[in-house]
Amino acid sequence: MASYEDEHNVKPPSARPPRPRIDFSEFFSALPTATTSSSTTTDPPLNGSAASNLFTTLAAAYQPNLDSNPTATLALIIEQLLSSATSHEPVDGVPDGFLDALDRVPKSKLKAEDECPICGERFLDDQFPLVVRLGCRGRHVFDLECIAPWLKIRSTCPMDREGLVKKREVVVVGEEEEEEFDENYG
Amino acid sequence: MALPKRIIKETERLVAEPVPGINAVPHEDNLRYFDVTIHGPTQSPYEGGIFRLELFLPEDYPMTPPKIRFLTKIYHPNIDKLGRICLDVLKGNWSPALQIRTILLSIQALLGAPNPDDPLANDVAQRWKEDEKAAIETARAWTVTHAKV
Repeated sequence: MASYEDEHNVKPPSARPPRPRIDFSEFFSALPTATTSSSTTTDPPLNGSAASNLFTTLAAAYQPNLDSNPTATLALIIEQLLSSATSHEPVDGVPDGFLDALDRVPKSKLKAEDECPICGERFLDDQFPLVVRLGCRGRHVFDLECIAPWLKIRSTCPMDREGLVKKREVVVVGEEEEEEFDENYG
Repeated sequence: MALPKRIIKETERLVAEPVPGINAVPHEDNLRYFDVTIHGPTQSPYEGGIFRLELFLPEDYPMTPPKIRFLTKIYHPNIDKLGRICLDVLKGNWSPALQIRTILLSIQALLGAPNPDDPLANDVAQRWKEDEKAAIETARAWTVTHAKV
């Protein structure tokens, strides 16, 4: 039977020495421990130190390759991974249910020139705008679609950087205290 | 994937109403990749220089900041030898309400106001603190050598 090379009228590839493989096994084995810190199926938050360790592990995986075959690119990759490990900002999103509880802004309250600070589109260009107002002092408004992915990684208002979660935590603590109080009576 | 409308709008505005001293042009074959030039601010050691940068908008932009790097060599305590920039709004202080335009303005401002107390280029920052006059002289010399067209 004709070989692939005969059929395509090409020379068989010269036997090249196998490239050194990068051993990612340690990185991949570390991966699940970092991503399943929360049992929920939706976007488990990667906590800061676990993510940082991952960057370090990945950098370590590249290191032997650099020693045997030093290239500028590889050195750069390792350097960037290590800097990501040290300068990593922890994910600090809002808790589940926060987005659903945001105040909706009815279409009638929106002015013609109002626009979403994230996408830059005028709210009323959309026939059915889904606009929410944050609990920050500026009461800033956004398309829900635009603000949702941001709040999942950072619980701050994009306009004034005011934290949005603390106030709610206070409320939750209050509720818990109330429950304990009731138990005392029961 | 289609280019988000926001990126198209930002690009159009960068071209239609350019920021003085800043120029950003997207690559024809990759509209997320921009060639940027920033003119050194007057009254700074970078005055008269034109600095080239590359700017890339990652897939999840604007939820994550643009990736920006100096291509022109520059002597600055907050810019390392690979051209990486130490600037809060490019890291933890990023907000999706910021734009390419505002970020480039911040970088231009950083050239006018180096901050050796928050260094990325440690040797440069060290020198900046020990002998500011000499450091500024070096920055000026580098501008002449590397950033003059």
